[in-house]
Amino acid sequence: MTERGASRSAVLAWVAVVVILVGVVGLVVYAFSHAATPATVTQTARTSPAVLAAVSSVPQATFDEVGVTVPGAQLTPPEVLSGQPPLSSGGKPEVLAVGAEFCPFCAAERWPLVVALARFGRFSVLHDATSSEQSVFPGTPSFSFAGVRYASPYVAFTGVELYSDQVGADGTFIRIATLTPAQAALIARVAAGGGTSAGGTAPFVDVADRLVTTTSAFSPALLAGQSQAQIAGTVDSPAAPTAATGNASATVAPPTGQAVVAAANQLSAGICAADGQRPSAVCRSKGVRAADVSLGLPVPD
Amino acid sequence: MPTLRWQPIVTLLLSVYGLGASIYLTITHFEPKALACVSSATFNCEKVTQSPQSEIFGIPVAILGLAFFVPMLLLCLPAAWRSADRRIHLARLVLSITGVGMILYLIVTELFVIKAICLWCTSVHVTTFLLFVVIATTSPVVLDPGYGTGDTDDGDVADDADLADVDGSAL
Repeated sequence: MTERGASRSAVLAWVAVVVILVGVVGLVVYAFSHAATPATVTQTARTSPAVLAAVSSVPQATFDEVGVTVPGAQLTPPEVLSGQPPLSSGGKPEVLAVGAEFCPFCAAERWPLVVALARFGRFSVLHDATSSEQSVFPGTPSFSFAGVRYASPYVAFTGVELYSDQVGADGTFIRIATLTPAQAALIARVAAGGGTSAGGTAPFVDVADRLVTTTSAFSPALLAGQSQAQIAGTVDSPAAPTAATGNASATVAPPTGQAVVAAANQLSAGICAADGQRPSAVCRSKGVRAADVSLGLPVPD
Repeated sequence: MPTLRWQPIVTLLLSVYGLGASIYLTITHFEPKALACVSSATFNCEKVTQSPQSEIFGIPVAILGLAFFVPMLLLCLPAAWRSADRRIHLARLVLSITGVGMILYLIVTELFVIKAICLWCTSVHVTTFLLFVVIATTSPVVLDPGYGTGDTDDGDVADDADLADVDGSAL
């Protein structure tokens, strides 16, 4: 290479450097000057390993013992869909959960959904969330599916949180996600005539188009007055509702754990119906069979 | 003619830092609790390192960073800089161009998809860009067929003397 050639190459190299630098600076300036509101939302904390372990390791005996019976509380079962094209992702049945972090009914529904999904796979990333203090059932402890990571050999999970629990400058909850056209079409189809009477999208839980629910399985009131860790404790080892001792006017403790486990059995039954009754230990368990019967789903041999 | 010899040592130090940061980001990709980083609406390492975009074809970006900095470190050793083998200098240049292309993609992803900036990742981006600056602007000299053989334009002897040319004649 001659000296002139080398100089020309050096000039070209510097031009490339300057072009890249100017381009990056331009991108950064553009991004910050056109920042949308989602950038102002602070991601909530990661769920503690203790809570995650508690909701992921509910003993099989507990699922079987609770079944779908919740003394002292009313369960709203999911609706069974039929004749729907199967919802799937990556060759596996898909569970789609759409909600909002501020929404107390979404907060309640996430508990059994997390417990049910943990029977089929593993959450590696889950965040905490509480429903809005400005809404009914204020401050209901739960999880957020924003940024969730879940892996399972049997089922795919998609969690969408449409709104944060934080309020923006305009006084409304900050939008943090949008539905894909396919998700929006699915919700519209199910709500319009697929078998559910509700048209709302928060919560909306579709278990592979075998089950769908558009409200929480139980009232968020069952979670009131308890921390996330306390609720996780009741799920891990639920007991029948008992009156607190030492006080004549004691109130009966809410059957939080039973409600979560019973609703988880129902959602598990939907997943089992979609994934070919796998794993057998879950799908042929007494608790899931009880849910099959109560929902009218096929009971495995 | 100035006889600066900073390119090998600077690129070596940049590579060492980049490799260390990549190791740290790889660890924290799998152990997010170990990630020490400021967290605000704009700067949020965890949001970036745990995002779906933190993996490309199932491979964590942090591991791709390792795959970049390990060979870069070897190519930036003083012996590699002194080598008369043009393939080494060409490989270094191609690797640095690949690296800067990758960081452009990652910057766009952070700014417009994840909408958060990871400061640790940014430090790696800056390191990669600086490596590109040094290597790209040095390449016209080290890719000279006579480089390292004693046949460079100045007729100087090989090795250390040629490194001096990197800062002088071509730049």
